[in-house]
Amino acid sequence: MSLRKIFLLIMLLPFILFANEGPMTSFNKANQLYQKNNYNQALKIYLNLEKQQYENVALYYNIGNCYYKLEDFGRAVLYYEKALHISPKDKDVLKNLKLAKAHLQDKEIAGGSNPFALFFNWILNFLSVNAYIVLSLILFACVGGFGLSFLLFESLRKQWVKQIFIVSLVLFLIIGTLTSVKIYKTEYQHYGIVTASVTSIMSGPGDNFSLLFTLHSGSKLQIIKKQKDWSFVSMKNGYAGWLKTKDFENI
Amino acid sequence: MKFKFIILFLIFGVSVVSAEITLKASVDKNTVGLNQTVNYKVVVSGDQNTPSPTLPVLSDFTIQGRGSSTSVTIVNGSMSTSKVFNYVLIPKKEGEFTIPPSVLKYKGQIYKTASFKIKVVPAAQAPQQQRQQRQQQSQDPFDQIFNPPTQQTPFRAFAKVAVRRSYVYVGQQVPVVAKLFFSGNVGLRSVRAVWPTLDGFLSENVQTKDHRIRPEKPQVVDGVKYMVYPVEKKILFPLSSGRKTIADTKIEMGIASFFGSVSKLATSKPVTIHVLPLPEPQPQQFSGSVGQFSISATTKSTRYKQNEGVGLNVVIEGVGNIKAIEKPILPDLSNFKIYKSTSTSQIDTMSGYMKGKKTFEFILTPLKSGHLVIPPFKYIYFDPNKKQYVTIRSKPISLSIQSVSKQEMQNIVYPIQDDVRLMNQDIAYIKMPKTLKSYKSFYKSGVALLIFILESFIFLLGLGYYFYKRRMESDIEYARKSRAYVRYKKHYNKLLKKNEKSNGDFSYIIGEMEPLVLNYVADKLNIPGSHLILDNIISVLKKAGIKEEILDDLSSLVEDIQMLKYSSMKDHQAETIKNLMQRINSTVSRIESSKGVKI
Repeated sequence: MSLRKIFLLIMLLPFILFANEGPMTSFNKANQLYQKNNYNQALKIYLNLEKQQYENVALYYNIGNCYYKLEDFGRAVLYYEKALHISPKDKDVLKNLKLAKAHLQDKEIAGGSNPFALFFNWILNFLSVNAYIVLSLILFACVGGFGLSFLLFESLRKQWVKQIFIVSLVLFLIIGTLTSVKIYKTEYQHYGIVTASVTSIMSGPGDNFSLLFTLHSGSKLQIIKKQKDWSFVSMKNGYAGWLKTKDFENI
Repeated sequence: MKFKFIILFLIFGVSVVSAEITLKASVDKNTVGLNQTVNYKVVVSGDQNTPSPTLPVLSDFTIQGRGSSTSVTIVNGSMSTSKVFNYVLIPKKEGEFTIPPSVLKYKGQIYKTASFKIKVVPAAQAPQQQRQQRQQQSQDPFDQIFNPPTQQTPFRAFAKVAVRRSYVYVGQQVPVVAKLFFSGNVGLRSVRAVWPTLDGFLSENVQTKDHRIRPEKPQVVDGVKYMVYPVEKKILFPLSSGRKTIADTKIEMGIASFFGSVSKLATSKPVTIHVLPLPEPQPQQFSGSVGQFSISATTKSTRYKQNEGVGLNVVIEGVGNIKAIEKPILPDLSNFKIYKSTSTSQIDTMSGYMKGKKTFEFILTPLKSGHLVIPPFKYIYFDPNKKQYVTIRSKPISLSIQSVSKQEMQNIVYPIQDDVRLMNQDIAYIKMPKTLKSYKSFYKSGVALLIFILESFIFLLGLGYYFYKRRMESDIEYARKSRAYVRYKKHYNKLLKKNEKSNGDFSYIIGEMEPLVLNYVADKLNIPGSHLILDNIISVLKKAGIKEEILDDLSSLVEDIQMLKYSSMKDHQAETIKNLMQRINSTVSRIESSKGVKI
């Protein structure tokens, strides 16, 4: 690196730092606007931050709150769901999501009532993907560490080392499976929220097909595939069909 | 062939016959008493899958029960199905009524039954006519079960409303009981009283202990012994004076029959109650309560601080309408500030009478310190037994109030606190974190994968080492073979070091040179020490596939070492040793690196 370049970099450093300061100042500004009940202006700034690729629980949550206050409950649900995607146990988000859902026109579709499936889903949503991965890695380290210690060192060939090894192995197998499922779900299962006030679910990708049912804003759907302007979606209860891609947004 | 044809014909024949249906209706009697029931029967015969007929609108009857039965008969190859729908009707009033036709729509066709005229006569008139009718047309087998002839009647029943007093004052409680008098060997499944509208009374239901009806002492009426069931009890409070009538009360009985339960009605005669007005003049502060009451006032303690709330309970207890007890007349409480009052009632009607107590709870805060008195509370009611107005008073309560500082006065302590109520619901407030970090998925960044690979690598390494160690411990041949070169190298280096420090004395190194070579070969071939003879070694190495030239070198090397060992020549020893050591190294290396050799 030439001396000239280094000099240039040092000159630009304050600007780079300032550029990093930018989002926080505008975030705070939006927060102040929200405090003054100026939800429209606050929302504009928040959405601008989202465009800059900021994936943040607080940001999504605040956007959800703005939409809630502006009575766009469908979009409020969308952003609360986005926040939950990062932090599935956030109490504020869960509370507000419940309130927003109460304003929706469509009753929430209940999934299967199989207690095992419900429990599995509950466990899956207990932690975020990152938390599951970290936990898996720690457990993996425990399995290897304690297992090898038991095998290699005479002084550690004790019952308690063996017990810890077995427990961590079992836990690792469970958590590892859950982590794989969770990664699969986040990578390959995409969900969306209807943002249009009302949308028609057709039997094929076009208006000329027959209407199967209608959905109102805030309804959650699983996106199976996209084809030009239409997407094939399914609901928890097994209903499925095509709707216009512009009528929903991905979580 | 012929046989098949017959079967086809049979199936076809049966289905053709069964496609036609007929609809018939009948009633069991044309004249019926007000307290009796009419059985209306609709029979659909023909197809098996016919729907139920539509019953006409019967505004003059109450439909009490319904039931259906199906029977399938095959006679001479033709199948007939008949479904019987039974309806039990109770007339609502006297007069002549028509039961319009029942309708059945089936396969596009409409089927109708005939209509029937029913004459409803007063309750007492009916039985005789009924009996006549029964003699005329008693072909229906159901009829005998539903309406057994009175002569062989297995049961008799009538209802009666019993009133404890027929002369009462306005507001005085009147316990009434709807009783069923029942005699016979038929099982009584259920009973229920249907009261008329009780205008001019406030009425309270009386609940029995476990909602069960216990029969009273049997009574003999007109020579017949009846079981007496007090079906339902009520307490009535007349609202105004004059002659009041409780219209006929009906008791619905479920009687056990072959087909389950049959419903019957028993109706009581109207009962008259004479309500007297309360004597005039009424006292000014008369509470309106009629009965017998007592009053008491209590506080939890007699010593209070000036900033403490005094919880005062005033209890009015007695027999009468507890619910209607008014707040007692407050005495002069100018030394106190009254914060609030609440009331709770406890009512007991188990005995058939209404009794209980009403507690008024007042919260007072003393305005002064020192000795304060809560004067008696007063209550005025009318006692119907004494036929006069009675005034009752609670005992005065003396309190000693301790004074407190002004500051303490601000924290007034109340003995009763309000529950916190949620007024509104709103979303939780926005989040304001100090930094705005973008979420990064850990697994996408590759760090997680890297850690996982690293961990796996370490564990595999550890595991490999464990298995290697285990083999070394258990497999001597393997251990010797695999460690032969390492041991040789160690030995070799040790000899070189000793040689440097030897200061011209080479006896040690000369003595060790032969074992250095032979031990290596012995380890490599797993030959016991006692078998270490050169020819032996050479033949084994030959078998293992070592090249001839290497073997020649090896044997000449060993011979040279032995020569040196036994020669007495001391000249050039250092150089010869150096030369020999190099030859040892090259020969061993060549054996070690011989590829495709089975050692």
